[in-house]
Amino acid sequence: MSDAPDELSVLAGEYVLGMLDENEAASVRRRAEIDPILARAIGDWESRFAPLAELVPPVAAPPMIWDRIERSLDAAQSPAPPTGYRPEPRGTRFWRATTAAALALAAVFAAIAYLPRNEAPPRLAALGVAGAPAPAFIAEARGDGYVTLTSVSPAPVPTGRDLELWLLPKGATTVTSLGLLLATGRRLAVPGLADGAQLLVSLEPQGGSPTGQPTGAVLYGGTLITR
Amino acid sequence: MRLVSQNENVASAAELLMQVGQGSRTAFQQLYNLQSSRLYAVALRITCRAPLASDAMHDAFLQVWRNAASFDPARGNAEAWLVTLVRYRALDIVRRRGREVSSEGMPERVDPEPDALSQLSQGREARALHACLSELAEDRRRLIVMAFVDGLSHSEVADRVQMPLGTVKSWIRRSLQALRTCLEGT
Repeated sequence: MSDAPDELSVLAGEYVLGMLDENEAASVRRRAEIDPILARAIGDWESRFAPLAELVPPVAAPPMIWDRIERSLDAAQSPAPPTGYRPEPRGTRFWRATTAAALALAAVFAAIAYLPRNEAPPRLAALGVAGAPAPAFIAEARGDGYVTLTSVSPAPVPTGRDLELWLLPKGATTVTSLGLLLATGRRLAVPGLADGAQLLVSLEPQGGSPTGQPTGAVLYGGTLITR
Repeated sequence: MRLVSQNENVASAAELLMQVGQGSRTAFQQLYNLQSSRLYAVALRITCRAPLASDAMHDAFLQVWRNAASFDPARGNAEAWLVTLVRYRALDIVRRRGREVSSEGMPERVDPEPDALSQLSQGREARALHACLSELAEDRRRLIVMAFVDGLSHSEVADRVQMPLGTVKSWIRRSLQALRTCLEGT
């Protein structure tokens, strides 16, 4: 099948405007990887339309964004477990939940059976609750700095609430938000993860914790280990 | 030739991006400081939620750090590259999540005024885009601007402007064709 140049350009334009749904957009992206003409058409629209972003009045970015970017970079650049996490006093409820979640480590071994064989050994964690037959999510961290969270059997998320993912590096005393987690899973950049780091999932108000620390129950948790 | 930047004391985004490509964390922070309010606004406008906009910024800036060395100033300008990265991350997030209609706590979305386009900077791309958008009928131009700025799908645009989906699709398609012809002629 070959599209007329016009069709290709329209498709690229719709993609750049953001009008395509998730599947259509993913299909355009895959195709652009092997079709230099489509890739070029996309690049053209990107630079043509970019000035329209000036129509949005600037909004000061919350300082926590830069803090989070820096932590991710620090983690990526130091092979040792990152330090510099500021301990903050916390209530005990969160830590009790964390301890319980850590018990879910055993489920990691069950989870490994689900995963495809691969060349480089990934770090894996099964995020679940102790005693549950299957984990809620499986986290897989590869050397490329990305973690993929695959949904296995999470409990339904109540309306008006969101799941938020947290990182507790080994030896750290404070968690860092990695952002919201959809029930369908997520792939996100978390460079520099080391064995022993814990991933935790808490139930938060819609849109995520307003405080930058977990405010709701920790539902799932697991510890990353090299497969 | 006289080059006038908005703030001549500050290195341009392109200069900073080149230094980031060589591994300068200082330049990376300067680039963030220079661009974050503009980019955060773009992400917030698309995601309608501060935590999602923060996710988009975090993920996009890590991409900037990793890929800065591959940025080629000959092929495009740095601001456009940054906007593109942030928009795609924001669009990915809302596509995957499904955009919630309610956006309490957010300023009401106001469509950009028709002559807001004339406030676009005087860069070459901006001037060409302004000239070619001005050739579209106003109601069609509005759909293009709305789709880009708010990151709306065809059906979301149709809902917003209360028009049949088929009409929206065909207007967008024809506007893109007309814009391409016009922009390639400039």
